[in-house]
Amino acid sequence: MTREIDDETLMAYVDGELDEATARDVEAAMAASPDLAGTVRSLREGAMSLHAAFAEPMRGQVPGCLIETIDAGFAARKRSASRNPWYGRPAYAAMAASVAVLILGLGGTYVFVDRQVEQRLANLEAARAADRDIIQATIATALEKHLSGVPVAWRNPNSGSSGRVEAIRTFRSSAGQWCREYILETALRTQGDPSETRRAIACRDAEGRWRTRLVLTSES
Amino acid sequence: MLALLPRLRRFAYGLTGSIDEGDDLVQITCERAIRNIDTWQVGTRLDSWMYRIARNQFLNQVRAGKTRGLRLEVADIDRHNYVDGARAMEAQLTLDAVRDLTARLPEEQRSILLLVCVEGLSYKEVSAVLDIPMGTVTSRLARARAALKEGLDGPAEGSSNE
Repeated sequence: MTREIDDETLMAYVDGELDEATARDVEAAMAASPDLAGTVRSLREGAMSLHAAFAEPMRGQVPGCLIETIDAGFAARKRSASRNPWYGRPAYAAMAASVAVLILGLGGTYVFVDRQVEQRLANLEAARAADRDIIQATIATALEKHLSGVPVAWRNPNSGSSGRVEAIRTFRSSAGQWCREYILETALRTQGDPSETRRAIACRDAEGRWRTRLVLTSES
Repeated sequence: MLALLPRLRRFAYGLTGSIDEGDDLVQITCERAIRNIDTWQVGTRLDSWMYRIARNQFLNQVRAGKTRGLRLEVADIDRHNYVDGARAMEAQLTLDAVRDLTARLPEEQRSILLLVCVEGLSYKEVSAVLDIPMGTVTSRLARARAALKEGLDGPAEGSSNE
């Protein structure tokens, strides 16, 4: 029998917080104890439904006013920065003579960073759109052409994002459409987000297009 | 910062329990962040820093009595998006219950639960964002999860060891 494993350790295991050796201990203990395995499963489901509960209503577009706030904020910074290189840094002004060079350097960096930010945001938008297109195309291929259990990998060489799509179950909806449950793994470099696994259901419409109807769970 | 908006909105929605109030919170958070961008250390995580601003701002509002208390509203989800049938209905009900239960948690537990389970931060990152020791993160997280589970499944029936 393995040593006692407490609830906090199980929780840390589900959250990916354990080092490898301890994680292996937990897995060994789970294999020996259905109770333990059940607890882990329920912890995992809890995390998934929590993620889904708060992510689902947020799936739409980000309101434009928020984007404007950020744009306007940076624009205002830039204006004051160009009007007054000492902007926002009165403490530094006291040490003016000795660190003038440093400060001008910083001011220049902000303007430079702002400009860089603009350029990068534009690139980012394009890369994200490309990621989305590739993901959609991969989902369509995996659902249309591949058996359940056969993963289809995707990759966007421009953004570095990658992942895979795997159909796991096929059934008919009550409306008679063919539906498939699938797993979508994404590592989106464009979201600053490491990796995500989603489980979703898509159904095939009359035109033969696969439409995702429900994202069941997300696990990280 | 724009790339972080979806995640910040999600977090703010979880904190406030309301999409509109959440978006107001995000707006204030972004304004503050831009004003104080000098204090963000390049090379550290921008998301952690912004979660922290959002959460502090939320606490200020709660203290000032500015939030209208937690009212949970669910976004206008297009119900046609869901697969017909009992299973989808159940999934939706579960999500409603999860949101409701989360809203009822004390803020100190809710923040941690959202940061770990929804935003995917590590315990260490959460302890940095909230300025509390790791041990506190784990114990509050465990309590929050227990409360959620109890709310969903009904009270635990004694110990499960037989």
